[in-house]
Amino acid sequence: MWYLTITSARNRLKSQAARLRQPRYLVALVLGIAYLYWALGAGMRDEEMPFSQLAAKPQVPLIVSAVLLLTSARWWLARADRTALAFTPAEVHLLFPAPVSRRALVHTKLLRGQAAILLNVVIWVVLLRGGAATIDGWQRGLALWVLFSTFTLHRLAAALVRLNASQHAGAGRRRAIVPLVIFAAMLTTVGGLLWQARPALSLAWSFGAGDVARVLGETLQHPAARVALAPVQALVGPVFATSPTDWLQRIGPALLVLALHYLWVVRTDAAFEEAAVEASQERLKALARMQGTSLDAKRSKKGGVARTLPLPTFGHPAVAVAWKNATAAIRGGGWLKQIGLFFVLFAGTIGLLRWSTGMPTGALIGLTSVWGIMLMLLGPQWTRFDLRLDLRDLTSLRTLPLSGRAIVTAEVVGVSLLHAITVFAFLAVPVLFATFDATVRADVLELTGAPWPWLVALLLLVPAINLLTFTVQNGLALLYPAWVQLGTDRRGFEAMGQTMLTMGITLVGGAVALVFPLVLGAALWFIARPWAGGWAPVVGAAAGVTMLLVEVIPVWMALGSVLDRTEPGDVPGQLA
Amino acid sequence: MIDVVNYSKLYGEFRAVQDLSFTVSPGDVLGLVGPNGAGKTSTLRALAGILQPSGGTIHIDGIDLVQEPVRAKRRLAFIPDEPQLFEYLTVVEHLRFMGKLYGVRDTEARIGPLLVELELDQKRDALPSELSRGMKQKLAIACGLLHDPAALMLDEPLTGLDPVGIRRMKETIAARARAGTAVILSSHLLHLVEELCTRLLVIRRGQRVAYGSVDEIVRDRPELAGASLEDLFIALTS
Repeated sequence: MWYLTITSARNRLKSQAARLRQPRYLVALVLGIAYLYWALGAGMRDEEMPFSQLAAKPQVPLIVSAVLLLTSARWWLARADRTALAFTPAEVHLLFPAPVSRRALVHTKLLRGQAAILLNVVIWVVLLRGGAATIDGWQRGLALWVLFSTFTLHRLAAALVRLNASQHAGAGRRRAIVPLVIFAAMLTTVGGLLWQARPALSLAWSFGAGDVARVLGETLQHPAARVALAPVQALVGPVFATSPTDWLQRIGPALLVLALHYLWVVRTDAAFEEAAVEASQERLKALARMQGTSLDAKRSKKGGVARTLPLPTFGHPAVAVAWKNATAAIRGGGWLKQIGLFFVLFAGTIGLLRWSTGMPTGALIGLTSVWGIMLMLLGPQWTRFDLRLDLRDLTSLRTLPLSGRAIVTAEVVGVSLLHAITVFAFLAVPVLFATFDATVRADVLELTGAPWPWLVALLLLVPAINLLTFTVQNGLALLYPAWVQLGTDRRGFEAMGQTMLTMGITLVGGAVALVFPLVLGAALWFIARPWAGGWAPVVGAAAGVTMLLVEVIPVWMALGSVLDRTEPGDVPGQLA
Repeated sequence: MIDVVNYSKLYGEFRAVQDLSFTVSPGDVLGLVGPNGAGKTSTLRALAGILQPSGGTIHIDGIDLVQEPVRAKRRLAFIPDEPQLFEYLTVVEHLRFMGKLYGVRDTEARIGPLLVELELDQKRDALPSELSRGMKQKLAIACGLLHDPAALMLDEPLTGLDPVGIRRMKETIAARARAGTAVILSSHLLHLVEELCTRLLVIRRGQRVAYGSVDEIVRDRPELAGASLEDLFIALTS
């Protein structure tokens, strides 16, 4: 097993090194190393960096612990997360029939996960740089490694416990009771205290994020919360250590929690093989479904297939590609379900907050706007029905009678417009509030002049900004297919660093590209005010969008040329 | 219809295909055969516009595939050995999708007869996950045939088909050739090659070792007279 792991890792490194013969990979690596050198060297000692200020606040580790606990709840509450157990087809075909113990298989699985963990440790050490004025980079790295490894084990253990309970009635359920009870007790304690604190949180909301954090910190200082959060806090503690001595005191308990998790997983391997084969088969099916998503309800219970948009009979043939992706999002990605669920949850939260705390409409408008903007910025990470899906089957893509430019344009435009509908629906809520709620109408009218022109401006801006962010994401996938995650597979907690890195590049790239459109849009808005009145925002938005398209369209052309030159061998993990 | 002149394909230092030249006329069925790793897939993929040739020229219906890939691709169809379908489109939606892509004006009129020909008419609203391996293969072939390609390339087209399906498929390929389509068929099933192909292209280590009808090949290698196609293949490629 060691041989398999080490040889695979060595060969993978070799193939990655071979990619550096391509200038674009080499340039990216050089830039990355230069940044790491700066971040880990010069930047590490900068006490003014945001993280050192955050780490100095005593409530932050507690809040982070609570967030991690609540995040891991989905592994217990949602249906068993079989992707945590999945092996590659080669492992299933060659290792499972081989005379190899279950324990060795578990170790193989754990070792294979270390590559992603180590990569993400490096990313997080860089992201959290600046706190190293208190501890060295390697100390934070080790602390993060313990944290990520423990959460990976926890996810695996949760999947095994859930499967044990569901597949092995008597004994399996008995084995599942203890961990389920412990986790439920931790969750209800923390959740209950946060629920009780909602009036104070609502009040703090009107004073700003700092006060919310303070109230959260005070709530989590409750002895019951401290007990419930103790294991998570033991893991988070070394990351927030304030000195090498403090780190030394904290790393011991963290290592103990890691060791206990390891023993837990190794002892829960009774149903491992069967569950892992099943999980792997599911993954194979998912791969065959072009990396199908977690929401996989293609047929209703009555046997009907979900309705999709009609394929336009007019227009450029590339429209078919956009239509195909929209259909995949609607049927495979459950896009309509996601929107519906999102709105139900949002409306429920808003209704509950308003009913229980009397949250004012102004705060609701702020909250909705924040959610909408977050959705606009984070959406490209989730909605991946574009080149990130189709590059996995480049052979089929290359046989289409379309130029690379047409394919790239269709891929980006299709998914951008689809996502724009979701974002626009969200951002339109504040405008509707402002129009129909008498308590804020006067304030909003004073601030904006009239709400309806803003709705039109949003109608122009939202798709355009989506085009930009999806262009960056698709560009990264096309230029660095060996480094960017393709498909729509769910990923574990340990891969969050990579996700944040991609998101960071998208945000930075997007921000740079937005400079000229924003300047132009603002200038024309100002100029148009005397004659356009309340409709000046629309003039500004139209100008900004035009400028944005002037920037983005040449990028599509360039990416199209890259696609024309890309061969299936350049993209790892081809389906055929 | 398909003209290949001095086609070469390099992967780094490795020469997968070297100076390969051949022609497939309308109505011809060319059997592309060779041992594993001979360069058959690289050749077929280059002809389908998936791989960029490292050297040489490829013309489909007189159109340079490298210079005008979109125009050339409109005239060809490539059916891979492993059918790759869009899991979220039904059978009939796949065909509508292809009709739109290839600019077929009477897509709806063509879909019915094509589904009957390939025995998919009962499955028109099925999703690929609900189709057997053979049905998926038939759907991939239907997608390739919808726009009446001038050049048809098939990589192991009989994989996964039942005996009835195999017979139907052979009839379909022969009918397309009779209608004037230039067909290239890559397969290890030598009896299929023998039955359907009018000419053979045998390649080994990326190079052409024999090209022409069986009679023409035997004329060049008199010692192979009377040998079965299997013996011929072994003698030429070993």
